[in-house]
Amino acid sequence: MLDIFKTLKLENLSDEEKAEIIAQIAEPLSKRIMLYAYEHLSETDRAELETLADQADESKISAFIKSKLPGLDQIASIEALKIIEEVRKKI
Amino acid sequence: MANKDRIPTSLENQENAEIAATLESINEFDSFSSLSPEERKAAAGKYQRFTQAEGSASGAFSQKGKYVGMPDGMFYAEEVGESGEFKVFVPPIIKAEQNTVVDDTFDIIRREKTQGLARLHAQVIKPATFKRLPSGELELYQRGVIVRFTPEEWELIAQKSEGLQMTAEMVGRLEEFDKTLNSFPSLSSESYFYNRTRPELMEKFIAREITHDGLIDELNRIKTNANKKPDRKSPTPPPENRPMPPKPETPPTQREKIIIDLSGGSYSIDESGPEPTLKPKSIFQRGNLYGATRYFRFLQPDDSKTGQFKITVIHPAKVKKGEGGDWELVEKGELDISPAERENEAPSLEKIPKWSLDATEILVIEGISRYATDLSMREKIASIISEHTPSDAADILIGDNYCRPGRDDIVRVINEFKPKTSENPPAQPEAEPVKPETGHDPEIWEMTQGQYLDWCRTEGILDVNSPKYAEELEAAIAHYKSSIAAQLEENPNSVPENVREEYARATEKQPQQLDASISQNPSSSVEKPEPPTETNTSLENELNDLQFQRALQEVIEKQITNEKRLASVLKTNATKAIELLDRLEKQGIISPYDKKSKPPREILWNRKQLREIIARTRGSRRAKESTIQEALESEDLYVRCIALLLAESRKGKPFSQRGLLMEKFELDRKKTDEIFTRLVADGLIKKDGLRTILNHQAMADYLKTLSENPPTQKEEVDQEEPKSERVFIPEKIPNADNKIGGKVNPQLELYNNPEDPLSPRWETGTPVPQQVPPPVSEGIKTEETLPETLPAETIKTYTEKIYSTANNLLIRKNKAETRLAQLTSPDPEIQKSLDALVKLTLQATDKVPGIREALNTAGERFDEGGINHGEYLIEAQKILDQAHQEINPILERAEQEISAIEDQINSLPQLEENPAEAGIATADKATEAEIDKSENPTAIRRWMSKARKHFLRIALALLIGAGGGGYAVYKTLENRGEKEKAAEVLKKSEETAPTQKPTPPFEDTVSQKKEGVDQERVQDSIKNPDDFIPAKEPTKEERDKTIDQALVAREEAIRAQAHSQVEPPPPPASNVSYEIPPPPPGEINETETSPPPPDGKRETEPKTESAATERTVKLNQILKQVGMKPEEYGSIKDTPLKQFLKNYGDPLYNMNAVTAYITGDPYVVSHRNSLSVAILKMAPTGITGMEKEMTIDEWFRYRESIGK
Repeated sequence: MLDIFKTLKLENLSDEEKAEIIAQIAEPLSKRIMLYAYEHLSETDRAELETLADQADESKISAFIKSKLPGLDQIASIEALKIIEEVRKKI
Repeated sequence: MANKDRIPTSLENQENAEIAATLESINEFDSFSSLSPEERKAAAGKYQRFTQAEGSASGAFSQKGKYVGMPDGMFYAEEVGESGEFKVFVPPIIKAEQNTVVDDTFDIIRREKTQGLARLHAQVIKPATFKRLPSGELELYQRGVIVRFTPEEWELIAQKSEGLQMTAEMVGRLEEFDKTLNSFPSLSSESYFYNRTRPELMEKFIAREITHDGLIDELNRIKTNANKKPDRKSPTPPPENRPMPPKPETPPTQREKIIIDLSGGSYSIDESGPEPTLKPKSIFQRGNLYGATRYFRFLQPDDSKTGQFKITVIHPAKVKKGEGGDWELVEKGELDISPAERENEAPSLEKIPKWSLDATEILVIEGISRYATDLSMREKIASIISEHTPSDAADILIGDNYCRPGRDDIVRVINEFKPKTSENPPAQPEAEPVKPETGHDPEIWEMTQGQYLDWCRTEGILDVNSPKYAEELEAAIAHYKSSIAAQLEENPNSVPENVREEYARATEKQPQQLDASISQNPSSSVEKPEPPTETNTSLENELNDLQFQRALQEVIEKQITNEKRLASVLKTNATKAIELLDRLEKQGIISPYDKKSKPPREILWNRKQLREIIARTRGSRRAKESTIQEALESEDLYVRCIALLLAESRKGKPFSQRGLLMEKFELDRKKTDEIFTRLVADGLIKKDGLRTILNHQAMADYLKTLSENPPTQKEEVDQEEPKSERVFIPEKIPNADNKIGGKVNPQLELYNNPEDPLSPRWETGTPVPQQVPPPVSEGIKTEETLPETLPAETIKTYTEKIYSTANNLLIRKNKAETRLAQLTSPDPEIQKSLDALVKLTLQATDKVPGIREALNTAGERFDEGGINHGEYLIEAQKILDQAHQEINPILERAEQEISAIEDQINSLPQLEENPAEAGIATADKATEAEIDKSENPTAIRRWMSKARKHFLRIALALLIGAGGGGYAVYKTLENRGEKEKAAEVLKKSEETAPTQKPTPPFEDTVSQKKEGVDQERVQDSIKNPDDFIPAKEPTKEERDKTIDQALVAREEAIRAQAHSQVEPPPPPASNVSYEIPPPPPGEINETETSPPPPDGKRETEPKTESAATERTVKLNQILKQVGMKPEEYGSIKDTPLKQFLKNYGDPLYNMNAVTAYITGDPYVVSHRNSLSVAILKMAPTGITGMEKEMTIDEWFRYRESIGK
């Protein structure tokens, strides 16, 4: 599995700092995943997901996403790769 | 029109021929840059002479103060710094009276044969670049187009070229600007505003120099100023000198004209919902439509032999209110405009009938934008129409033919804008105005509006010949109304009954025309019941919900009480609309819904008052917005940071982004950390990786407080220190109620250590608002002067402050220690100073128990009745004074010492800061840009805010799974107190990496079942860590290669997935194209639409899948560019070509269809606006039977030959 910190050569960071980096990367990553989801869900599905989100039922949300966006995992992985690569280029 | 008579007749023939020849020769070159300097000079010379003879363009260039490209008059160019390079802006639409074209780089060029003069229309979307050669000449190293401009065109260029430089965000701002502006219809018909003030405002708004609320304020101000003009111009004469208004010749108007300008493609009719609505077009769509305007003109010369145009550009129509309250089209006329009029001037006045409309009729003028391609001309037409219609005419609606307003559409548009019958009753015929028999010269409030306006005309205040007559008229009416309102408030009895009635009618009919100064005098108010006072607070709370507010506005302005209609207007679903209506019902604003009879809900409240409530709510919101803006300019960095975070949060970014602060305020990481520490300590943001904003209201209040009460110097010093929300509760300190109060925030546990002598006793619960301690140095106050509630609060606050200061000192000490450890060569002396600081701090805090004890003793004596409350106050004050004298110097010294240590540490070489920060910030920025580029960023962000939690969890799980030290990270999260998040993350992490052999971050149940080698390859590439980070440290090249491979594999996998999915998801609306749908079978006829190879032979080999995919990708890009969805493309392709050509010259033809047809072949992407190419591609389809390319001239000849 891809090791973020190895890739970024930041293995020596403290756990605290690593956590912070992960939290920071999670932000654009989640946005990209959401953008993908938004664009690939129908309007009805988006509304349904909103409803599920309001209900905060994680299991239902997960099932819903898996059923509607079967390729999301891949997209997420690759978007993560892309972001990590973007970060790596800046280091 | 700008180019009127711009070509001297004497020059026209000979020069044209010469220039044509030159240009033809230029055109033979592959590119302009391939011309030799001599050739360029020769070509330039031709233009120069041409230009100089006309004498317009050169002047315009120097006026702009910008460099002008070569040949003179070509471009609007700016040198980039002193680089010798020029950025050249070419407007989206440029017109030049030249014979030919230049280059194939740009989307050019159409030639139009008109009146013997070859006319060129160009639509260019790319900027070109010049480079200065050592010789001083300019070399065009991207290609351009030779055009010239008049000064007026330059003005347009200056505006349009800005558009070319727009980022997605700026485009969004522009759209928002347009939307806002459209809510001020009276301004949009005002020429000075439109041509001068509007561009300035637009520029400021786009540059975020003014906010949305600021813009509204500014527009209101402009409107108000306009209304005041009569006062400035000619102050109302004193009553004794005021002449009697003459008897008006025509009945005075009861209402004002509303000119709603729908031209310019600002709107289209959105028929997607249950009810048709007006939908603003995006700038890109507008761009297309603007181009379409030219396009249309090109298509129009249906009688080019005679040079006469039969172009019906204005279709005046009249609509009348029917019995049902809706508007019906009653008649429609046409005006023929001559070529001269079309090109140069607004239509002759006499061509416009003198309309005689009553208040229940509306004049509709559609298609005006097609005629008036120039802003000023369009404005002029609007002005002419406005002036030319009787003052008692009803509203005028200027429509846009490109919105395809047929009969029904016109009516529908009007019905959208016009209030219903009950709100807009037919004007009652007014009796002949009679001189008010007052026995004296009447005051303004003794006149009817008509009488007043006549008086204004007599006095010269209103001049019907003035170019700004419409504006002055509006201002005069506004002045009249405000005067009546003021008088009604001051002395209602002095206002004659007929004036009162007229005013009441007018205010109820068009309240939006009145400013806030209109009184609420009962005599002028309406019959609706007053809103219950006690409900107002509740309603105003509800109004904080913008959607609710919008719903209320729709109810007020359009009387929409139907959930479907409301859902359509608000762009939401019916469930939400019902919920909103129910909330309105709960507030008592609309009547309950009767399931049985299902009558329309009635509006129960007085609508005027509802408007006022909304305005009030907006006012308070504006105040907050202005506070933020003010705070952004503050000298206090902390305040600026809060303001920025709050502003960002309002834009849907609820996290405190380090990169943002660092970039915006040019901070280093350390300083940013300090700010975050302080924000956390102040309870404003959450202490987690994302630094989620905890309390927006507290932030706003904080800024508001600062704004209303600028801190004194001492307070400023206090604010520099991080504040703690933790509150120390001294034992048995009675407050005014003899109760011990105060709670603390349980989340903050950092220093709540029983072993730590500095740790105060914490209680859990709601934090007590921090109080500013009284100036204890002022000495003991007497019972009479000391408020009863003061001591307890004072004591508590004071002790809190000691502990808070001590805690902050220790926080700073700890941070200093951390940074000390990060130094390349830690200094042991500094560590000693830090240790000394701890001791010093302890000295201060050690005194607290003594103070507490003394205060407790005093409290006990008071509890036991040994002393009265006054004596207790005095005693407490004494204790505090003494504590102040003992403790404060210690703390001050400690603060000085820590500051000195911090400075010392800062001056030492630091370890490198976390370098990932910049990359993450860039990635985030890029992501935001992607969102901005999408079709509806606002909707996406709104949706994201809802779905965020779950997707963030996915992202975190994925990253922790890929974190290498995922579990350690989890522990860190847990240790930081974010147990919930840590647990979730751990769960996901464990799901994804339970074994030694890593698996994908989370299960992909469907995609793994997909067929195809590519899928496996991608899966493997993602699964296998060695693909990315080999056991041995990879070289940079290896790493780049593997990542690139993964990305390529991903794209292929996505494509494969798109092909293999039974039900592919809808195609992306934005250019963030994760998935590219294949074209529907048969939709794209390869034979017909693919371009012939250079040798003229058509490609006959079957396309490979890869080529098809590439083609589809290309097509999607094109569709994106032209603002079309793939499904629209499909439907257009179904349109028989014949039908298309039949509609080709139809002005009402949907331009999107034309554009789509043009782009039917993906290989014409760079020529999507080029008619020549479009024709070229259409020609071989069988209509002409031609196999070779046709020029436009040939095309026209062909069309003439077939009688078209």
